[in-house]
Amino acid sequence: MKTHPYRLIFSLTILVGLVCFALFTARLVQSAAVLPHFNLPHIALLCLAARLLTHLLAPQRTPTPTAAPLAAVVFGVLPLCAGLVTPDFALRLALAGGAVMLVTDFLFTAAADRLASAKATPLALPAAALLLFLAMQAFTAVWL
Amino acid sequence: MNRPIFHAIGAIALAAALLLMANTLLSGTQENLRRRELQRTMQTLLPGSGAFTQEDVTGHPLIRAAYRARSGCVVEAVAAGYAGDIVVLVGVTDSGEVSGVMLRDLQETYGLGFRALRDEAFLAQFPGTAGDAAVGDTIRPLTGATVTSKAIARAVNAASAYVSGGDVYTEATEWGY
Repeated sequence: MKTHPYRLIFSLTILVGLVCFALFTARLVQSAAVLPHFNLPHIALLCLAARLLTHLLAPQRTPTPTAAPLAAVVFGVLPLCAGLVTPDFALRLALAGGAVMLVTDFLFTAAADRLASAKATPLALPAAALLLFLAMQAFTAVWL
Repeated sequence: MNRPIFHAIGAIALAAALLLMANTLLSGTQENLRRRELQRTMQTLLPGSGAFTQEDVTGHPLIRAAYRARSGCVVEAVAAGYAGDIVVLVGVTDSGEVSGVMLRDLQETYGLGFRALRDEAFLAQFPGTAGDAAVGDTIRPLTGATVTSKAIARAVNAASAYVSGGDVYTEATEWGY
């Protein structure tokens, strides 16, 4: 399959867009609902889901250099347009999104590279992504 | 314009435009529904109180909003929990007695502090208190979520102190966090 350098950003845009729309709709129909916030573990979950989706479409074992700045744009712009965050928080979200994408992209591709060196179950990479997400729980109350 | 980066930026712009359009079209409806739901909730927390009027809460760090009515006040208080702020809506009578409590926002750990949202036995301990809710004394905390329990008690005490004219900050913190 032909490698598309921006497939990761397409996946991320779709996932973040759907999450923003779901949160917007939930606020519309049930304004008293306690909804998840944008924090570092949730950002990591979206980045890892996009990375995994991209990898399933076309395996990739090197990080995407442009992923971090474009992820910053995705995390900064989409929640702001959906009215979910203030402009001030959107800026912090953009910086956090870029940084988390940089880290998760590097760690995920490193895991994919290792796993490709020998025979592994197809569930190994999703399990690695899940463990990375669980590790991010330590940053729940950090910064955002 | 055939470079892939323009496709990526175009996809982001398209998603942003769709979300912005939905937000612009529906934000008015969203705000109306939010106000209506708040009125219903306040009537539940302070029954028979009539119409509510929002009042200025400047100078009270733990109080985010207050809605005064004939028989008391519904106060939106906030306290720092284990994983971010916990927002509590508290109905308080004019004498400072708590008539009802509802959690509006919390991001505590799932399975531990987050249980406070649905644990009716825990929340039912607050009505009847008057700024004297103390975890481990008058309030039995949630198992494995002492910080969350104390934060909620602190917010409820702050709301009661706000209505009764007490010192919101010290009365809310004299026993703990």
